[in-house]
Amino acid sequence: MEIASLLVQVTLLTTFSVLLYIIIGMIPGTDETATIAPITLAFLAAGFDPLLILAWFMGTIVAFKAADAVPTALAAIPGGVMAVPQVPDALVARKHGYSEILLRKGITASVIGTIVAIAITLPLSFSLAPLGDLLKNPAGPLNWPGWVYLIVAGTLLLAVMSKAKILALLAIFPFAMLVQGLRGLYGHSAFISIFLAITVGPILYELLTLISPNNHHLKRKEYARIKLVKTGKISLNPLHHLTKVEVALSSVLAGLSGILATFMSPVGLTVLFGDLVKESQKDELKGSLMAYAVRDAIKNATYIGGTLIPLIALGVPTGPMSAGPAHPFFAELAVFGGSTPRDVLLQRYSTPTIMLVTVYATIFAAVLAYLILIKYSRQLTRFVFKKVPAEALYATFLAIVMVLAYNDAGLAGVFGSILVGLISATFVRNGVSIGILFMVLVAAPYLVGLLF
Amino acid sequence: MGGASQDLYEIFGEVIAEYDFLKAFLITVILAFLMYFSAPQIVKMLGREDLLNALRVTLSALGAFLGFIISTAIIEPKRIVEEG
Repeated sequence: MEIASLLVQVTLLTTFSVLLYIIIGMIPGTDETATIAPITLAFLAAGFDPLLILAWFMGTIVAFKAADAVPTALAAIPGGVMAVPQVPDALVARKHGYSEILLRKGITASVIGTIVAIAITLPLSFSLAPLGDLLKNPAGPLNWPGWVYLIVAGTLLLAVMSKAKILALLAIFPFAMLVQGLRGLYGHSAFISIFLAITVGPILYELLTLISPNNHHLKRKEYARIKLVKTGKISLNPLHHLTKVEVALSSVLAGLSGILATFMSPVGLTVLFGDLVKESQKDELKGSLMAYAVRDAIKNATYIGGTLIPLIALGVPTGPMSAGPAHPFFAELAVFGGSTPRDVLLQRYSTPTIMLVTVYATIFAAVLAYLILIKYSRQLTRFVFKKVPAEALYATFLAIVMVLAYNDAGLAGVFGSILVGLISATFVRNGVSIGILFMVLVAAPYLVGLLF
Repeated sequence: MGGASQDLYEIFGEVIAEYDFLKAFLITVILAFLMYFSAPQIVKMLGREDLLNALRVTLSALGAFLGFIISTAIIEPKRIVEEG
């Protein structure tokens, strides 16, 4: 494909993904994995060009991560799971009448996080590429490929950092057995239906509670009340929105988190570094504003680094991001003759082309999302809250999951997805990070092999 | 059935009505599967049976998206926005 025609297609796709995911990102209750992974997987399973879908994916990440903080700043309601740690910062800002300043800081910091992450992790990915072959060869006492040791080590690390450490450790083998058991029943190594069931598990669990007699705790008498704070005229110049210290902290921590996200959880890094920054300040308001900005930069950087380093350098999923939202790129798909979209991407395109398209799509998405959000954040939030019903969104993602599960393993795939979704949700609701379940899914054949 | 006369529930910080959700779910699932199962006829008409698997997934995602648009048009969001 000619570069010019490729860039035109990338521009159109990225524009569409940014517009779509700004809206999805603002809607409360939309989990990143549940909304990004099924659509990416649907595109790849349909045989669309992996480089174009990578551009689409970068657009979704950048837009979602920037947009989910907008309702957090304006209404103290997180637009997604990754924005939850920002709610306390937003409440402090609101108490002092700084919601609009917070909003501007967040959107600007997310652009900084995106640019720093792409500048550091993309060249790093290509320079680490030789490591990929090493990670694919069987080695060590268990004769596992190197990447399996990494993912099992990452799973254990994430488990001991979870809120429910013991439950997280206990979940590893039973969940691996569930995955392998279902694969035995299906008669093939199904991935898509099980993966999607984990992504929508928490939503599925809550929705199924609606048909249970024990749903009184969820009943409400009236509609949700959302208070939107006023905003004034906002400058487009990003230099007006952050202090020098905030720019420096956002850049350094975004760069570091982008690399660490190869193995570590994006939510964990957002909480860890954000809290460290907050604790370092004596003044409550200053600490909250700084932490909010830094968390926004880290959110974007972890999603970008956690995708690009495993995708380009290692070739195997090594952390919660690459085993989670970005996993569709590592899935062996029939439409690519059993190869992964990642392998097709590297065979079909040269290194400079991949770099050019990835940098272009990411920076274009960041600038577009910045301009839209900084200028129209209040109008967009009002539009989304007043026009888009949560019922339609939940139903759409469940329908996509059901049809892909059916395509993967027939009617058994649909029922298997309900089983996996409910078990995943039980673990997640009790404090086990969803990243652990993704990583167990990827390492399941090796983990179950240890038991026999 | 209007939103006000239905039982309301809070799911992930959002208030939803059970019948409205059921309505949205049926619309999107039926459209997604309708498109999925009509894919063989469509590829036959196009004379491109080799595209069946790819088109199946694309068409069903399109069906779900159509379902989203229709559901959004007919269901009222359960939020009251108070502007400060």
